[in-house]
Amino acid sequence: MATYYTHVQNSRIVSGGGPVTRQRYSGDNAQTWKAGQLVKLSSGVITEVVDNASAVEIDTDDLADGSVLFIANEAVAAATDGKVEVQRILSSTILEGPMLSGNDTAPPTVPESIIGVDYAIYQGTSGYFAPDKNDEVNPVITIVDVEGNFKPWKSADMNKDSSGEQYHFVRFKFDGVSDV
Amino acid sequence: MALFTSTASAQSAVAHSGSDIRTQADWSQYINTYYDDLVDELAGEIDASQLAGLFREESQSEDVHVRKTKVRGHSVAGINEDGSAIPFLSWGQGWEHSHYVYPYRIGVKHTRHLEELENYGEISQEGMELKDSVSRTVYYALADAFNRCLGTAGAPFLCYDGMYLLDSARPNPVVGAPTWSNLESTSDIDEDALFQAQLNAQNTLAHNGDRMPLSIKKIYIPDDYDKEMWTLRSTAGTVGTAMNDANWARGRFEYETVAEFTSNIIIYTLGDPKSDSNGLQIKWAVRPEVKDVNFEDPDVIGKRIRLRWGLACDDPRAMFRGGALNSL
Repeated sequence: MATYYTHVQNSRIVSGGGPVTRQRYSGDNAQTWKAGQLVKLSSGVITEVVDNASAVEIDTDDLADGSVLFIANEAVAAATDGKVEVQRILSSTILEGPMLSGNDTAPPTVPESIIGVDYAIYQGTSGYFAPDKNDEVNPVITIVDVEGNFKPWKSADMNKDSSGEQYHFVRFKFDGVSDV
Repeated sequence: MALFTSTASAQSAVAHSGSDIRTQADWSQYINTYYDDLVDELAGEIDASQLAGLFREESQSEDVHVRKTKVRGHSVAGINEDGSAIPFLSWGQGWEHSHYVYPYRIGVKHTRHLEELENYGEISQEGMELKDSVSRTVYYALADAFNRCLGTAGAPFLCYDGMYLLDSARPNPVVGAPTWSNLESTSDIDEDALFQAQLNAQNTLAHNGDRMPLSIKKIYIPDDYDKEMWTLRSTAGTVGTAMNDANWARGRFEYETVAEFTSNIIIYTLGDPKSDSNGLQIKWAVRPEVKDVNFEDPDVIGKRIRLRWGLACDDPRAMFRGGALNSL
């Protein structure tokens, strides 16, 4: 068994993305993120979404019900306060990303039976995020479709990690995020 | 010479935006900056015409188009004197099967802000990007029909008899008619394999067990096998021997290589694929069309491309034989 936590691609919004806005972020030096990373509104400013414990697992401990969630369109390497372009993730927003796994013999397959199953998110040190098939505890996303349906003719050479293992993709929604 | 000597240093891949809308933030490095030129990455042009040539194209307005075949019984006349009872031909209903078409859509959208600032004309490329996306979709789907025609990983569709495009032990709708096969044994491309395929085509039986002799009109193989086939067709003596015997296959069959064949397969066509005898079909409900998407926000501008289509196969008997090839 091995871990398959390579973000061969970051998850991205593919449909139903909310409004694009420019929001204020805190000039705290700890607040740095890349374009494409998950961010949320906290005390009136945009803040990184990180695991309270280990900076890898995003679950309901880190993303409480009613969170106002965004995806960052711009990188921030903050030294001072400023504004950043973000796009709102609503309850109807569909994202697409690779299915990761912490305990498997290969990158996990994505059969249709996982549609409707809830998982937590694995967020690597790179800041990129994707569903973790081994983590159904305190889940924050629901699988809505699997690549056999939306990528029926995927190249056998695409989305491989450095060991040549091919990752499989899913589409998912965030649960419990605020639409207000 | 140092000025003229460069050492390779690979670039890292670039992450795309995580957004479904194109905004100025995606392009911030390009807008009103020092870049002299913005060059589109090459993607090549997709041409599915060679693959499409193996399908008959038909219209179908329904999502599910239900078809029923008519069968004939054994049809040979016997000796029958004038004035005696005349025997009559029998007929009946055959199998029912359905052709399906599915809607495919993809869109693109951007903000007016980006349109105002972007000074490379990239926004105007969106229509071309959509068209390219659909060309690739059709191309992959048509290739998939052949690359999975043996059913080793399932297939995108089944023929009217419930079997794969190339299969053995195929049933016939008329009771008593034997099963049949259009699947050749796995082999190299050699004299024996081509002779056997031609013989098998000649010995084809119709749905009611009557003889239905066919002959190979053309052969389609992956690019990888071009050299093997060319050698077989060009050599006067039997390939790989001391050449006491003449080569039966020399110059006998026309062939084409198909770049999209990624499986080790050989396809023999037995007639004109555009004729009614070809069971393999592209079903068009709606050909690709582009329309504007009207968002609630007047400053989000988008369009989508849409097509409704599908692949289907009735009886492949009169058009396709083939099988797997040994790996090179």
